Amino acid sequence: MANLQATTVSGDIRGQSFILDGQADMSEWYQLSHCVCPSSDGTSDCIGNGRAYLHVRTPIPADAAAGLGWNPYILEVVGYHTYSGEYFHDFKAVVNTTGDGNNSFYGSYVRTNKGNSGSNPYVYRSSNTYGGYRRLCFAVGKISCCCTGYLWVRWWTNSGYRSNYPWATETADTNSTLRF
Amino acid sequence: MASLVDTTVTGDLTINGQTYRTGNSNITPWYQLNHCVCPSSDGTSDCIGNGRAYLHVRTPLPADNVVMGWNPLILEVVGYHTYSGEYVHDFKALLNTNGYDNTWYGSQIKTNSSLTTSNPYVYRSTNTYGSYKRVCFAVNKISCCCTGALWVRWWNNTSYFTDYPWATETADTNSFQRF
Repeated sequence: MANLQATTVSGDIRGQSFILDGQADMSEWYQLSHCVCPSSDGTSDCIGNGRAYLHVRTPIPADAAAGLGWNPYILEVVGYHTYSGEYFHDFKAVVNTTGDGNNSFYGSYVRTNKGNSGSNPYVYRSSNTYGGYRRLCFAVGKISCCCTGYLWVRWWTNSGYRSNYPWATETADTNSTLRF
Repeated sequence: MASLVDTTVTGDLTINGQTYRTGNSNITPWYQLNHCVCPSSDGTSDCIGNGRAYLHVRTPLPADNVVMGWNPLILEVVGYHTYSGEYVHDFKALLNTNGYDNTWYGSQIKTNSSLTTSNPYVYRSTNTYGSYKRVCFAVNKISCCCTGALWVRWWNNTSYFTDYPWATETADTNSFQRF
């Protein structure tokens, strides 16, 4: 891996993977497909019996023991689902706001710009552990079959956790059923 | 052109050009536009104080499913106009949601319009530029030349960022298709 001192690029710079800003401490946008085929419970977007919410498990630990402490940070999500844009997601959530409450971890400060129909974002901590820690998860509305659509996700502070564990997606009938 | 694998810059990285996140993020760089149009092609001009109340922007993004297919994308605009910030623009628009009949752009525009209304309007150009109709939008401005800038980017379809030159014009309304 190349290690450069302060560097000036006269032209453009292209990142084929990620470009990370250490000073701003934001993770880079991560793009996820909006389709889940197959699901682990027999439903599948691909065969048209999928579920109405997409749940995303991020790599960031939701556990003070992982070194996050009681320091809130911001989760940001932008995206859409279906060719006709039936769902449009655009929200920020302040999380880890209740670190005093025995590591209960995530807050309810979710700001939304909802599309024609509700994005209904819900942010939660996974029930299970992945790589030794519970992880930050969220759910948003979708249609219940496979269709074009993407989510872009990043967070502000704690950017070093962007590759701490693999991402995952699943579907559920509600946004508040903890899927992970 | 240097091609590097994983690279860490210990100090600051200054880029005189633009930063393309062509890999895992698929978001264009921000493109900055001036908010002043002098002269206008129809005899009005912001510079002589008889400009028009809306700024129309033509982006390089084709608005034609012959090249784009029917895959939505998100246009994002941030900006302001005048020294006292009489207009603030901050919206995302979900586009290409009617690709089945190539009418192409949607109406699902979310705005945060700040002190005065931004009134964004997104449309497809009437004329072709480089063989294709292009994505255009209009936002409010005052009708004379004043400091102000717009920043524009889109999510998906990043390769079209330099597909054709940008352009700006003014009009009396946001819905009058200026391009």
